[in-house]
Amino acid sequence: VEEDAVNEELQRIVAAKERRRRHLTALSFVEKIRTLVDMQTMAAPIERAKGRPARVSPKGMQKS
Amino acid sequence: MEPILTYHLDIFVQLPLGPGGLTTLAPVYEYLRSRGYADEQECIVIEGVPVQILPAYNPLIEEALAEARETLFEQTPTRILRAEHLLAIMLETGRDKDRQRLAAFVSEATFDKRYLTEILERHGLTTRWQQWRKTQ
Repeated sequence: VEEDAVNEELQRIVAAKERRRRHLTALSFVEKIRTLVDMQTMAAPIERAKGRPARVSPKGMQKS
Repeated sequence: MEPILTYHLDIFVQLPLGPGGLTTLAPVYEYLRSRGYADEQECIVIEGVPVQILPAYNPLIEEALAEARETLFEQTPTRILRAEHLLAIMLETGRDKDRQRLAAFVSEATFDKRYLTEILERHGLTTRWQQWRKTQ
């Protein structure tokens, strides 16, 4: 029963990831650029902690 | 296809040949530096965005530029390479990261297979494409 619950949870996560991927794929060009800037913002602290340069694009390109 | 994390913008440019038949980006960089934009590794930072300026170095890139699609970014007109040309360029450059992106691109992006086939034939990339497909 526990194994079934884990499998069900995994399937739910995989399905959610697939939905998210389809959503991102369907975005317009402008929305994709804004999503990219969001990704830069999220990843920049990790990159900097590794000593790599990570410049986040200007705020004007981010979602309002 | 879904957005992929990157920190810089690649811009292909077509420049006239200089003395000796060579293309040089030096005047472009000199102009940008005179406007106060600073170098950062292989890029120049324009209004907060690291930009890599690349000359159109072969007929494939020249064709990609000629066939680029005008796309508005908010109110700013931009020219974006067609998916089929991006695929051909990734195949031609063949770096590990290009091959990975190529796989993602082929599975996710919407592109015109017939047009891609024509591009591959025109630029002698058909065999390389077939070899790459066998590895997938």
